[in-house]
Amino acid sequence: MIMNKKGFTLIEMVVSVFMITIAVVGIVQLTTKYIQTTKFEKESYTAALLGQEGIEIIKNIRDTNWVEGAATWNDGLSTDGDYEADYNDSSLSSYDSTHYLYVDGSGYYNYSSGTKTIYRRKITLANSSDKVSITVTMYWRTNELSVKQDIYNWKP
Amino acid sequence: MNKGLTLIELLIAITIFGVLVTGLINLFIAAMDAQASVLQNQEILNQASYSIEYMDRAIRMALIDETGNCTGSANTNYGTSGGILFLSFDTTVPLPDAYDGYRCKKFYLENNVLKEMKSSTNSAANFPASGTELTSSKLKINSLNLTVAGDVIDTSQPLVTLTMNIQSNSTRRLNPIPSMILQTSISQRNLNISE
Repeated sequence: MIMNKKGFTLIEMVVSVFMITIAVVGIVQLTTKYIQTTKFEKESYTAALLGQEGIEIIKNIRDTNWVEGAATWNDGLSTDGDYEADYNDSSLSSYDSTHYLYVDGSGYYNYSSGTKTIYRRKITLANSSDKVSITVTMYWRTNELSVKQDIYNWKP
Repeated sequence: MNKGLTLIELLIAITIFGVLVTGLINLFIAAMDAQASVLQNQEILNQASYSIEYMDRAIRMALIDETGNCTGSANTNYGTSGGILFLSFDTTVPLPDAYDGYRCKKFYLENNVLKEMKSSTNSAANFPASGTELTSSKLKINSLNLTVAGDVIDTSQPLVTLTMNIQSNSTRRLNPIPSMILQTSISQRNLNISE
């Protein structure tokens, strides 16, 4: 018998510690990624709904033009450019990239009162004959998401 | 010379073992919390997207209530007493029908659960005793707020803004509790013009 059975050698220790570390780091990274993805998913959905709201605000302006009998169907929408508007606005303001949406005590996202959120919303209008192309871009942190829709002068 | 461990050796071994095990247990707990948080957030997302899309579609297609029996005032699209009330087309009703297939519908919040209710007629007076749940007990809807703007016939197009504060109601309490505030606006599809 050789007297070499006294425990681990340094090499064995280093190798085993190395392997355990890789396994643990892998699990931690996976979990972190999982949490980040879920957070991103939630923020994207919130942004998508707010983006959709932007489209609806523009459509509402066009339809109100028809209902009230405005001179042109795209009254208030006829100048191309970047705009902003919140849910209780009936007309558009120029886009300001420093304007964040706030959420008030009742849960309404708006530009004037409540807690500052991470979201910004830019509504871009582009006119061509009998058509307004709407692009709503939501910005949050380093992410952005666009919603697009074309509205037409379909009413004879 | 193989006499066993000395006290010092034993203490050191126990300490090292303790530190390692504590670290691993903490890691394990953190991983379980993360897993629970992900599941609870997914539950919120699933139910929120379902209920918002569902309400969105119904609200968008509302019919002008000429009598006001449903909305509470004649020639309006929406009423907001205790939720949102409007005339909604019911595909299960055989035609011809006294109300052309439209029924008074209500979305509202009760005990932190989102519910819908459908009247047997075009009037809010004929609602059943209780509604149908749209969200499960896994969620706690802290608030459902609705604003209707421009609901004046022949004057402007109605815009409904809907906001919900949703949080997880799981018995596994996390800190912070997963929650979301979701808002969207819906512009009535049909032009708000009297026939």
